[in-house]
Amino acid sequence: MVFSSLVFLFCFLPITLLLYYLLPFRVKNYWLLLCSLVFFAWGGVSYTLIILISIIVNYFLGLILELKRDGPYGYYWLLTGVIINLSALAIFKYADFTVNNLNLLLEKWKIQPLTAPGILLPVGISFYTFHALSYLIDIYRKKSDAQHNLFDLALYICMFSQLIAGPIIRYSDVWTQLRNRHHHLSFFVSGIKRFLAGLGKKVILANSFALAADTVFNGSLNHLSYATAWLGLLCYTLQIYYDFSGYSDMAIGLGRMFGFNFMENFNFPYTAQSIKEFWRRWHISLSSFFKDYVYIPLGGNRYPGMKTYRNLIIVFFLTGFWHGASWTFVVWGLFHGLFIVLERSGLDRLLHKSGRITASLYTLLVVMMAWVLFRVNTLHDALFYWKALFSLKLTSKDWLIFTNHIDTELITLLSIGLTGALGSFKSLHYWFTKKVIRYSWIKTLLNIVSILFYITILLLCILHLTAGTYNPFIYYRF
Amino acid sequence: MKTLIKQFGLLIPSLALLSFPAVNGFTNMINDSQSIENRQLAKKPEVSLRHLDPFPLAFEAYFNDHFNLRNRLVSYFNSYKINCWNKIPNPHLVYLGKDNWMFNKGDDFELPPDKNLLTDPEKRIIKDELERRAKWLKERHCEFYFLIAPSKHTLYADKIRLPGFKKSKSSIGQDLNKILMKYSSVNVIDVFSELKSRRYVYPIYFKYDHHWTGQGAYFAAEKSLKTIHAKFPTVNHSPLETVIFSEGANYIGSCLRLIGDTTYFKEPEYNVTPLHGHIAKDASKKGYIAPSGFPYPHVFELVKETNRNDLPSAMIVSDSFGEFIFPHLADHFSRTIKIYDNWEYKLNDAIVESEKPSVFILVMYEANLKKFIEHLQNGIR
Repeated sequence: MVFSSLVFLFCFLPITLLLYYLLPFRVKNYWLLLCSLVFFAWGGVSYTLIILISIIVNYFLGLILELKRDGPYGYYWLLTGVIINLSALAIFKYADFTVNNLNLLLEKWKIQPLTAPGILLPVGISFYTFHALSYLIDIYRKKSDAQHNLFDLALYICMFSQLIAGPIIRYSDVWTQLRNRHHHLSFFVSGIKRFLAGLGKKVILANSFALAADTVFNGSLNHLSYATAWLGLLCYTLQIYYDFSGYSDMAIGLGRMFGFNFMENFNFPYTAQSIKEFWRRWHISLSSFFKDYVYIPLGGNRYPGMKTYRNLIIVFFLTGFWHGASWTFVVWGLFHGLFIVLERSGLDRLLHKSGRITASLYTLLVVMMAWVLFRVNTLHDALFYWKALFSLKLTSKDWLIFTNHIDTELITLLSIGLTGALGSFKSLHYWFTKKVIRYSWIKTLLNIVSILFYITILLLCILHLTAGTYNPFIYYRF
Repeated sequence: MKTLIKQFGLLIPSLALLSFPAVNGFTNMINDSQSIENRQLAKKPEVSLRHLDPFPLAFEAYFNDHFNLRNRLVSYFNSYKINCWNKIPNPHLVYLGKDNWMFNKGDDFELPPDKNLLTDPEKRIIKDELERRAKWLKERHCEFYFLIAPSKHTLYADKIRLPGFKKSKSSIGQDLNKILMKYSSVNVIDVFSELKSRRYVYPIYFKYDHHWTGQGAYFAAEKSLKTIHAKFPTVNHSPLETVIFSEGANYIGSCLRLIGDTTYFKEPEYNVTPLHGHIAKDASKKGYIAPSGFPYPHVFELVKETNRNDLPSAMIVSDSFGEFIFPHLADHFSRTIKIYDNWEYKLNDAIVESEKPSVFILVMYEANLKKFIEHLQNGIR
């Protein structure tokens, strides 16, 4: 189940919210856990067993770690926990990838290839595995105590709001909220606003950009003109931002509706002036997870020079690999890692001197080039796409094809998307609240406008989602 | 007051909107409009503990298909797309050309008509099969005729803004007709030039459907009857002065069904009726059995009869293009049976043996020529 579906909006969410607020506080968590398990089971009922096993294993590992963390074997218990969790991830996410690559080697050596297990990826496994890892590591580091209530731990690991697309919640950040959180109307309303903003980003913007990007990327890449290639890439750049940040907004908003306060996951990443800054603004929960749980334990930048570069490359290799079991994701991660290393080696000073606009353009260009790797299916396709981006040929036929891709709606949405992604709406909001609002009647008026804006977003999303269910029989010949 | 607006101004309308479909489901305050989606909607899945895995997907499909006020909301969405963005919904299914001419997107739409011709071996497959059928029928004293109903994008290529369409000189059907007329003995009814010359004089094709209209079918029938007249002098045709052109009720075409619109784009049926009405009347069917899986078994067999026993009898095997041409042709034969055989275009020899027609007409939609070759290669004859 996804948040941007009719069944979630009109069935799951209202029932979950209604009973949540009708039930007494002591059973609210049980209800949320039950709903989260139903949400999880929606992606494959049999897979629920995997998450249940993960919860139970991590519950006992947490209790043991709490007892043993000061002793000589504490580290080994942590290592056991990390290996168990990562093994599950490796089996369910990377088994096919490993076998397929192994088969390439076996083919060279003329050995009978292995059969790929064909395991389907359980919903949210990348996220809940990291939740579990954060739980164990935070206990080991004494940032928090073990959760003695199995159901509360289960709720932390699989709470539906952040199960599919994050943010990755640290146990140390929410463990107090699991038992002790307050429900305020204003907090609930801010949750609705955040949820609707995310829903609008996903349904109205990201889905429209996806249609345009898919038409370009799914076509014949070796006949692309540069105009169409740049249009496709721009659409994909905005699609991935609004899709992902929209999901994070919805997760944060849902969290607030249930009294939780989750960390921010995006902070206008396309305004970054270096790749380093980009990763401080993009998927913040993931980059800070890797920083705290991989980069720093590896030594971080304590030893300047090659060791720091090695650590950065390892972190970005893992970041890429975490995103998907494919070489394109690995190369995407390494591509970012390479530019981080270059920046550390002196490029950042050059960028600083060159001014804000040049630095921003550089960052955006690198990020967009990397998105090509993220979107295509093979490295070969990425080469074709990059070649198209920088080819200088544009025939009248190419121009006609390009103009067929664009229309008033796409141009309008691209303008809104670009303005939003570059933080202009936020600046406008800041300007309004600081400079313009001096009279209370303007404030009231703005409140009404804001309410109408969110209601319009909800209405448009409902229309979009309902229209998406219209699926006529294409065998139309009669 | 300010706090009330701030706190409840969004909360109440949001919750009301999210709960409205459920409330309306019970109270029926607003009725939903009629669905024009031509498919079977998902059925309510049964919960079975042994087969829980497929349940969520099945339930979601059911929930989506039976979502309260769904048809009305789809219609509102279409109005929003058209009015705000001058764009049709489902552009992957329907292409919106110049002057709002709509074209169904399909495999045959990918390339300009003259870039999508049959190869020589493919043409030979069709030619050999048609000659085989003509010979087989001749042995049974029946004359075989072959009519290709042009694709809309062949006739109205100038309404398509995609590269190569406007300048397209030929099409798969025109090219095949040319070969058949030059190198085979098959009787070809070539309606391309007939229809092309009239395409902007009369509404011969619907703007929002891929079929010819009653008027287009009339001109195709006229051409057919003139061709048949050469071998069957008793078969005449209905000149323009003997018919009335009229506009009928609102016609919901295939393109409109694909985009789900019943409110914005409207066009009538374009009819042609003889001054004194059609002579041929519906006659009782013999009850030939429709192929399994055919979605329209009620129109597999249609029969019309006149009381002119001096006229030959005819059998038409066709796809949906036969629907409009059938009444015009039937007026000029003693008995006409039309078989709509699941787009398989078979000879239907058992029916031929039973009906013993003097004239056999195969009407095939141009876009289905490649499908016809596939059928032949799979032994469907």
